[in-house]
Amino acid sequence: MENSFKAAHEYDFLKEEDVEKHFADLNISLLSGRHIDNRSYRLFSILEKYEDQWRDYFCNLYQLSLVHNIFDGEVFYYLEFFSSGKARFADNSRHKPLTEMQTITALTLLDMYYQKYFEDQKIITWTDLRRQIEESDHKENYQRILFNTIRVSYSESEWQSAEKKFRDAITSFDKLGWVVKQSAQGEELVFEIRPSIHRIAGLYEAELADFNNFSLQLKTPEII
Amino acid sequence: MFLNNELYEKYDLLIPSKFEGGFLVLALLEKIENGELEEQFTIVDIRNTLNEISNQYQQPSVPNTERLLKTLLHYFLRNYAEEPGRYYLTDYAKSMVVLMRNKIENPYKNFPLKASFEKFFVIRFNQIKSITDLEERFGRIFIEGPKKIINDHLEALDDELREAYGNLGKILQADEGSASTMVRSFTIEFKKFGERAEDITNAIGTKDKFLRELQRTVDLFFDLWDKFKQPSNKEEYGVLENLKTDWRKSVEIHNDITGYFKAVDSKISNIRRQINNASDKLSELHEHFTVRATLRLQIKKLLGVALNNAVYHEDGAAFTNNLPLKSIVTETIRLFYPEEYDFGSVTLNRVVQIPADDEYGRQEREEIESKIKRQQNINEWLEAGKGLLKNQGTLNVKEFMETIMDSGIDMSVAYEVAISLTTFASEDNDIDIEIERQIVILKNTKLLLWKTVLKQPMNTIS
Repeated sequence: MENSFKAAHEYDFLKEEDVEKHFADLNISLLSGRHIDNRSYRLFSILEKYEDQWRDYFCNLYQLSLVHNIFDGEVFYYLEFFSSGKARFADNSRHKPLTEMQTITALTLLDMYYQKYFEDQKIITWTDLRRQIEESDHKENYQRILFNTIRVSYSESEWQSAEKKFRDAITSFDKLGWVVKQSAQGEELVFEIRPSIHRIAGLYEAELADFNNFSLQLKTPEII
Repeated sequence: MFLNNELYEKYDLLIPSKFEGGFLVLALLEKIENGELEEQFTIVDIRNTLNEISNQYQQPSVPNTERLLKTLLHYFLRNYAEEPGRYYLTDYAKSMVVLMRNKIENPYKNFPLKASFEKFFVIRFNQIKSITDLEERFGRIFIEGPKKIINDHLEALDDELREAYGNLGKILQADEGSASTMVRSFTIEFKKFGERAEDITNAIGTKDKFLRELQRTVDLFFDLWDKFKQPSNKEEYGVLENLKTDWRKSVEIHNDITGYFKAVDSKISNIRRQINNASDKLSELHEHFTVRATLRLQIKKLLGVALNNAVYHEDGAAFTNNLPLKSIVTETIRLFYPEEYDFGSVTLNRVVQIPADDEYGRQEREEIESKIKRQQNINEWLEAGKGLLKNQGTLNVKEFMETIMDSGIDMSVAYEVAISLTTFASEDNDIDIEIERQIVILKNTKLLLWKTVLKQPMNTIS
């Protein structure tokens, strides 16, 4: 009896006017995997103001950890499974794996974030991405993955299909809060990379920590 | 959509591509400036220059001189009238080259912004005495040149900063080199930022002062008009009207210049923000240099591994070699669509603790106990009755009931026992129930019953 009274008291913040007004937005955003930084100022400020209460809320009711992360001097919040609760990954309704294209795109964008490290806003256009495909150190890999063949030039329709693959990934990242899309449909792809793109490195934290071992393991199936 | 069609049609003639005359014009002007060629040159000079260009840029063939001449004679070259076969570069050709050079090596790059502001945007004491003075100094046509110079200046600044960012990026990307050499290279680049930031701050100070003075001049024209005495004749009306026009013109000039400075302000604030951002990053780098560089390197490697392990797939890409995919929390949000949403928050009922009512509890317990006791009594007497019947072979119901009541037990128990005993006897074929039509009265009660005797033949008694 005593515990239930205590719990009721902890959720009192949900009745605060600012929380009540934006609760649905915030709850749905976080639960759908969104990373919230101060670009979504209203949601961000509510999270910041009641950070401890939100943490309890997500921990008690969803068994999820509300993470407060800082990268490049900017704070962003997101939900993560507790490390002890990995079994929950078995439940497909509660998580979504990034696709191969999303993973490659995210790592490319994180690399590009550093290329524009000294710029205030990391604005990327399709032309920038195209330059990666045509001129970067990894150009042959990009071309192989995107066009299935390495040639001097590619047809307009081949470029369109490559652009679509990136555009789809960027659109999903816009929903995740990793980038802010600035172009509308039909316009040249323009977006800003947010510091939260660094989450992709966080997801591969274990692999990065023991990188040599990890890359050795990857090679094994090929040898067999 | 394209208003100036002529411009589109003649574009190739106005800006020929590099091997279609573009490089030739650059090279000819350079040679003239170096004294290698005279202002007028011959077709042979042109051919030689074309050969040099082709060699320098390893072109498979030398372009046809006649064809190039045909293109360039539109805007870039002229025949020398007095000496046929000799050519000279047009002013357009020269100004185009100057324009390009200025873009690359902006002349304002090393000239402080503040100096430009002070040169063009200053109102000296007693300088503006009439609206003509103001118009000649700051009128739309007269100020166009200075405006352009400031714009060029800002553009030069922006270009310079961009170049510096590029350099910073290159330093960061270079994987080799110790942290200390890298930081040193950064510091050299940043010195430029620091100087520019200071220049901009000074320039803004000058600009604000100028705008205040311009406002004061406008106010002066307003005062002249406002304080002019009430006109009494046609001449005075004319003067008043002129003063009003003067003030309006001064307001127009003021609006034009403030509008321009607004644009300048936004450009400057953009540049300042970039400078500040880059400075923040530098101080951050001092602290985290090694950590960040390592992380960056790791990410580069991970990207390399991911790309190496990926293959083409119609819908995107596919990983070979079991490169792990990572998951993001995605709770399925189920939204049902009731006809009406009730967004009012519902207050939950609280559990109210009611204290125990001892008196009620005691009464209930007593009642339950008495009922149990009564049942026990019934059972005991029923057993006793059965025993008597068994042992004696006969049982008078009236007497047995009286015996029960005599033992201090109430009549309802005796009655229940009698009924149960009768029911028991009727179910057992060995027991006879003899009922005489003779009413007997139980003593001390108002209960009447037929005289009933239960009999069990002796041979069935074990």
